[in-house]
Amino acid sequence: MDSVEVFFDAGDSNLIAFVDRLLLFVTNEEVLNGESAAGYISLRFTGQTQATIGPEVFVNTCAIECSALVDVSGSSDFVTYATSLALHPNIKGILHWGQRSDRTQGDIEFRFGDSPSNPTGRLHQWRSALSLLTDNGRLNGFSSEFTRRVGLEIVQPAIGVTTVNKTAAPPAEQWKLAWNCLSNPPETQIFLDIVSPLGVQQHLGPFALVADQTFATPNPGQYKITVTASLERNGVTRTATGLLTVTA
Amino acid sequence: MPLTFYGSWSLVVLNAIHQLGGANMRMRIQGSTDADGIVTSPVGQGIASIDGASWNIFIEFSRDNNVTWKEDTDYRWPSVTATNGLVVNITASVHYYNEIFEALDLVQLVYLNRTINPPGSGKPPFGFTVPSYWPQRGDGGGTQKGCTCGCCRCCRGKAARVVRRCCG
Repeated sequence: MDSVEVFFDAGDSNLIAFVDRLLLFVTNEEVLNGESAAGYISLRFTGQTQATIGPEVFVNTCAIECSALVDVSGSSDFVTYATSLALHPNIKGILHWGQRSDRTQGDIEFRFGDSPSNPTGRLHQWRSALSLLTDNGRLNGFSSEFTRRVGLEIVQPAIGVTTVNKTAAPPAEQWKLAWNCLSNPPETQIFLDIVSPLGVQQHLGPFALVADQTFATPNPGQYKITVTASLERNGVTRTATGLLTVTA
Repeated sequence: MPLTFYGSWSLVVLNAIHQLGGANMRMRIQGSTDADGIVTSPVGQGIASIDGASWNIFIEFSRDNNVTWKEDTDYRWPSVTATNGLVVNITASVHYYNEIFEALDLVQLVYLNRTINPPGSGKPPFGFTVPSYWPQRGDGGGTQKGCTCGCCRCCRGKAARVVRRCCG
């Protein structure tokens, strides 16, 4: 069997539209292509789950299961179409985690929250718990190809301890900036931006999570230093920054 | 609340938008790549394509000769038709000053992404699964004049015992 299960709010008018659109697809396949799925579409009603990112997120949830025999010509097309339709933002169905699940991180964030523009919601809560268990992603015991693809990972880096100390006195004044951002996924990168009192900007990096960098302050006045931790997941980059100042 | 749409849709006006009930009303599109602005089409006409990754429809009303506009209560009603596939009707509340009098379908949108919404074949569905003697939805079943079997009567109001013998 090939199957997908799609969850809707039972009061959502998209639910009926989803089923009707599936039936029209099956009709088209029969009439136009001579193929038909050997399977079923079933509707199952449940209450709300207490699991943070369980698919039964609504007080009255309806789960629509679309199953078909894979060896029958047309069946896989039917399930593939049901999956695509459910994932489409105009329909916005939620897929069962354990059945066919051709989803992306963007699909998950569209439904469970914690997108870059709105870091809240159920997924944010889930990722916060993951952060506690994995030292904000430094440990990867919960990571797999699946979790990386759908974004069940730490996506938000964090700035660790940063210190800055003078290492040479004027006239060739120098400073040493050190940071420890180990509590991040290993692929996180560190960048430095140093703005001189004259407004000249230096962009340095990428650096390792634990490192230091020496820089000179030839002009008198205040230097602004921004430490940025940058993490890219599935084409989306999120950053965390820390700001320091030194006066030359 | 605005109604959000994703991708390419067409729009047809079903009922005159500009003045319903006791208020001036308007429909405004925002966030599209090619059709932002007030919908001014007459009934029966509309916009061939509204595109954009994500765009909104606002239905607004004014009681002070278009000086200020407030958002109306609006609803989206998705459904599926045999020819257009996924369509969405937008219903707005018709205001008669202090009360909402009725809801009215203002426009119908048709989803133009023909990969996710291929048009229907136009042929009756499931001809191979529904026996010909079954009553057809809404038309009262069999058509032979004078027939009194259950198939011909069951859809005409009063309950009738369905028998497996038919006029056909």
